[in-house]
Amino acid sequence: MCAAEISPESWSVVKDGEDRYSVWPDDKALPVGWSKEPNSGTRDACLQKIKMIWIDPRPLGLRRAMA
Amino acid sequence: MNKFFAPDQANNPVAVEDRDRGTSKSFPLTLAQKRIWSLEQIGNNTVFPLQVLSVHWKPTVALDQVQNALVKLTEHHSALRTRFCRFAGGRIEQFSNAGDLPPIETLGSDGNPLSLIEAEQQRSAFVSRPFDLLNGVSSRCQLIRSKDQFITTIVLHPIVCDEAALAILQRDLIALIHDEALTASVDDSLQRGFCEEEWLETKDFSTALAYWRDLIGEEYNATTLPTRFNASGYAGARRRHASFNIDAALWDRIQLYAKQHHLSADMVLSAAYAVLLARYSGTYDLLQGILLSNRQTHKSRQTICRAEQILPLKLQLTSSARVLDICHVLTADIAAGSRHIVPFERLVQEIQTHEEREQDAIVKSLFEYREPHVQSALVSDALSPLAPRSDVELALVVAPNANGGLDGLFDYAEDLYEPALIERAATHFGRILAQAVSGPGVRIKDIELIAGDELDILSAPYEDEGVNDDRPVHEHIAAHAARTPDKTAIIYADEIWSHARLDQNANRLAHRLIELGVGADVSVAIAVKRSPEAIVGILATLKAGGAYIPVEPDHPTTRNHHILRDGAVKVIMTNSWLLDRIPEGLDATILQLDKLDLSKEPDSAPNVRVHKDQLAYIMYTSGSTGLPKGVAVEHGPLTHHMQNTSRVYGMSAASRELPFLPFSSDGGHERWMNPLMEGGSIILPDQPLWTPEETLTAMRKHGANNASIPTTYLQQLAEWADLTDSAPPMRLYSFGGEGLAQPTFDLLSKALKSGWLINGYGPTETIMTPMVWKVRAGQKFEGTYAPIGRAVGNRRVYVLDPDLNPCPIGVTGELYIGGEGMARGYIGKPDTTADRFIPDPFSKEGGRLYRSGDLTRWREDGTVEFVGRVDHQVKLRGYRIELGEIEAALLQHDGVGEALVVLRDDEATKQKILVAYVVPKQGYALDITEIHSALERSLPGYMVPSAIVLLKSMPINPNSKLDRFALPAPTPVKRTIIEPENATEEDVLELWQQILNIGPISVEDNFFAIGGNSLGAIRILSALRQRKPQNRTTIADLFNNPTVRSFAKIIEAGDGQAGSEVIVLRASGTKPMLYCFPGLLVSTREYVKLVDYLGVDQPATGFICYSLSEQKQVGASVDEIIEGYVDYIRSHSKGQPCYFLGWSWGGLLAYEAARRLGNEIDLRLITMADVCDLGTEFAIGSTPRFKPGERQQLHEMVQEWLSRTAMRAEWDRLLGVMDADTYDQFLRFVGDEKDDLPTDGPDISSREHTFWILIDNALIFRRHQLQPHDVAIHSWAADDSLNRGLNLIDWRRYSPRANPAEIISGTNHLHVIGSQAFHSRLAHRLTEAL
Repeated sequence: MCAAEISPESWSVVKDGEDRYSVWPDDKALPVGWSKEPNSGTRDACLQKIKMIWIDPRPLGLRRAMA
Repeated sequence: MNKFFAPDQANNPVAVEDRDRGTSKSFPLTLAQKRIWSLEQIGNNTVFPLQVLSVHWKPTVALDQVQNALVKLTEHHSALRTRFCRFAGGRIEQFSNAGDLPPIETLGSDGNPLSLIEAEQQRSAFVSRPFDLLNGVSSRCQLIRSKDQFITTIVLHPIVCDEAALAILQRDLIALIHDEALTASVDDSLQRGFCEEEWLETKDFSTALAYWRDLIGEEYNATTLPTRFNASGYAGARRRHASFNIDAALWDRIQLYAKQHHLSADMVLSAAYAVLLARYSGTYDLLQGILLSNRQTHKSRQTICRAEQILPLKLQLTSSARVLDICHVLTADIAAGSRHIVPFERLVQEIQTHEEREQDAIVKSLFEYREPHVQSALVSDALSPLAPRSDVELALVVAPNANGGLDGLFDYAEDLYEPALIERAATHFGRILAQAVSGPGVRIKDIELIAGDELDILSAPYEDEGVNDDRPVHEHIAAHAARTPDKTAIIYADEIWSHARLDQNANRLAHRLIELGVGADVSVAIAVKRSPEAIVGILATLKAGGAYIPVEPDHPTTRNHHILRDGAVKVIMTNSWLLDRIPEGLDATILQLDKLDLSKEPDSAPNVRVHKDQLAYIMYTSGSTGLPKGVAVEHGPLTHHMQNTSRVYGMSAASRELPFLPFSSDGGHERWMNPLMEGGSIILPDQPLWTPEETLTAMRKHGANNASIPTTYLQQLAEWADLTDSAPPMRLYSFGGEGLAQPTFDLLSKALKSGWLINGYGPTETIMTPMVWKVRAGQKFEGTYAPIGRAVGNRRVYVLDPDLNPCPIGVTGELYIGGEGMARGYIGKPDTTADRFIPDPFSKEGGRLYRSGDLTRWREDGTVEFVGRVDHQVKLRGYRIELGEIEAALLQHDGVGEALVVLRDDEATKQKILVAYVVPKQGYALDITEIHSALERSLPGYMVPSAIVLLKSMPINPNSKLDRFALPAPTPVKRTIIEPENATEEDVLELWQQILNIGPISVEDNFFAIGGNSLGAIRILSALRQRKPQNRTTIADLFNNPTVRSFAKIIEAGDGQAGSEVIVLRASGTKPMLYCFPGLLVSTREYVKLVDYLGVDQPATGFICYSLSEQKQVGASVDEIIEGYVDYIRSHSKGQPCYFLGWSWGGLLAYEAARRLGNEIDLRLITMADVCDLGTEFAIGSTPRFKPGERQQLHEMVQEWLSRTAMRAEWDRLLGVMDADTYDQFLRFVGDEKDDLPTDGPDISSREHTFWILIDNALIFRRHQLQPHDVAIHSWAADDSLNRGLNLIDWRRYSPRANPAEIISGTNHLHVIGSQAFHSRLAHRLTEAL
């Protein structure tokens, strides 16, 4: 009675042009302006990864202006 | 309650004398046929439409050719010439005679053909003519010779024909025209009812039933499309249609896809329907229905009859399920279900057995695919309209059409579904199909329902032609100090601050902050109360390039300490008297504003350039749990947001706003920045809270034209303004923070005298007020809460499902906000930021979407409606419940100012229960019991809270939002035991305890509340009679005086008061008295819920059933039984308006009482609840049939039983009044009983006593003849009674002012009187008759 689910829970860490991070499901087309980082896994695992790598919360433009 | 009123379907056919059927043998009906018959009996003859086949022949066909074919066709199929006969007692059977052909009406001739218009007129008149099944055959034929063609029309009654049968008919008719012989087959259409009865007794049936019980379970939730707001699930009979087409190209693709994947094409259609339901309902556990032709055998494909069956389908999907897999699952499920087909009428009875609660339909949405009919070169056009059965809330019928495509039709209950929503669903069904067959891998979540251009319109912000400049907020404000330095900027208590003073002070402080190291992305805490100093501090921080963090000094210290640490503040501005609130050990400079000397600092603006991505502020918001999170907002989006908001709010230099929102919420800052940026002014309250009087006085005194008020305070303000008529005229009120219900909105519309009202909405994460609904006062809205409107500025809003697919209008989804106007993220929480701010899949430039956690839906006009929090939607007993809907229902109650509903664990039972919290409006006292019954009136049972808790005020967290965690648990009511005061009370109390078998009770306890019922009451009375033989109290006395104390008083008062047969259900009220006539063995206690529902204004009186009365005699007549009722009504309502209500057998009593009273009273309406006629068993004229020797055997059995029973004397009296025929009927009845004759009497609760009462009642009933009487009657039938084919009385046969019965679904004969659906409909009719 249960139609099989074909997609495993696979997400990727993604980043935009201002170095903002987020997560996105692998089975959905990646929105404009975002690129995939090498990290993928469950949604939660991706968020944990972001916790480690997103050190500077400032957008890239501001970082450059303040540098 | 009564076997006669509810005959078991399995009873053996009773032979009766032949009346109408000549020599033919007659046969019982199938359950489906019985239901159609019952429906027609009570005036519902459109639920199953007439079956129509129209064939247009090409000119090559000759008239006599068609005529001959028709004759042969009607000879061949007995269903076209079936007749029906009614036996004594109302049982219906069917039969047919070989030569008894249906009429063939011929119009026009070769020489004199009808015009096309005439032909169509004649045809449609022929098609719509009703049948009289007792006086004619089940079909009729028409032949029209028109200009270019012959048209043959065959109309059949749905009781003998279904859609598949029409296809057979067309096939056979064409074969006959071609002079081909029809397939020889045994026509068993008449035997189907008999076979069904036999089958229902077999083990196969039990096995099949077990299959469905297991599949559907006890707690099911039938899937359907979203219903109208406040529909409450009670559909009237009105139906609406929405038709649509699928073009040939798509249908070809569907068929190709089906072929490639070895599927039947209709499975693809059915799967698309499942996808539609899933996406519209938001649930992937589906319970839907499919209509099967149920003709698997060769024989059944030759027979005209009604064979179709509704098959429930249960699908457990996820949004990742592939459509192809759904097709395969459906195919397998249908095959499995087909092996276990149980007549749906019976299935419903077996599944809906819950005694206490009303049950929802098992199938609310039905899919039907119709196979194409056989075509022929001789046929130019064959027409069988898509007329579906309308006994399900929502049905979709799809059939191939002549153009090679598909015709589709949604048929639905108009009361339940919004036509516009159904129209869109039809469009979306087509889109689902088109995408589904585009490849084998398409999953539910891959399907787009909303096209790009539609999404652009739905997501669009308020139109705003203005152009924003990039200067930050503080520069906008400073510009006015240069332009209009002396103009008032802030009014605060007695202080007046000009724009120049504000700016100069801010400049001086800014210079100091820069010295202290404040700059880009450095945070400064403003820990002073809302005041001009606070605003100076904020502006100074911005001018220095820093980010401010508002900290309310009077908020809890743990919260403030967390903010100061988490926000990494460099400088803390506060006052000397607040120093003890600042934690030690912070690496921050503390500025005591009251001790600060800035006279050396320049009053000119510091030269600081602000980058658009630099932080302007950090606002701390309460998470649903745990510590507050800091939301960081940048200058660029902030200034653009403020400029857009200015234009939407219509702000100008003339604006003078009273901003009442606290500084701990970002909305509070929007509302002071906005007027100052435009060169206007603000009236800053000098206290955190003003009384409504102070607020209105300040507005008037200072000439405010705008005010911004938290929704939680708005109610009080509007109430006060209404009471005192003291609101000054205003241009605009804006509010927000909580959902706003219509009654509150109405009140403030009326009381606050404002030109414009703005309902603002916005999570801090999307900057202040990203959405507004701006309207003129007096606006009405559908829905629980006021709409939250559209986006403001450079934003777009989307209502999305969990797969980020846009929801269609009317479908609930989570609100996402995208565009420029959003925060950078959460301070120190990159993972939470990444979790809530996600890539924007709809943006063409890139960007993020903020996931709000709020459930919303798009309205018809494209604005957004707030439905509730994602975590505020709960699941209870299989139902998805939106708590906000219950809250809105509470707010409808007069006197309820605020309401909150939560799902929590019941401490006693450890089960989840709904608990409501209410705060009364000023000057109101709330009656919890009354609110509870009001909720029962307006909500489905599963949504009525188990407990309602009265609060003085709602617990509020520091941000003026409700604090759900601070709500008290409902406390169980403490029972105080009041001891008896005298001997009578002692006696009565002891008797109650003994008979009800309960522990200690109080003399003030209500008899019914402690478990008393009618039987208990009767036992108490008879025990009392033994102890005090002179006592004359009756069951009515006990019901009218239901405490030990009051009942003891009646006993002591003696004859004067005791002895009543009347129960006062509600003594007072301005509406006409409602007299309730009891069903058999009914005490009128059953009416209490109904009387509660009808409310305090509806007085009601009930009568005790004669069978429970002390003075009953054997073989009383109906006239004698109603004697007492009639006298009572005459003496209390002579010349007065009143209503009657009769339930079951009580309907007959009500009718007879009305007839007897005639014009003595002003009887407005008799309402009849499921009133059935006597069954066949005891009907005069029905002669029972016995097998050889059976009668003697039964007679001996009865005699032997009589020798044993303790009720011998009573039985002898009853049998003594029976004549020989009746005694034979009694023997037959005993023989048909499954159980042995009971000997457990004479106790009132014994089976034997009940049996005696039933037989006695049958004797009364059989002698009674209903006479015509002109009286207004409205009747209702329980759906279950129709499924059982009960012999419901059609009151239209007796009174010209009787209506067709309305059907109450989800209930049966016994429970209809407690059914909320019945209550609401009865209330409606009573009001109508007033």
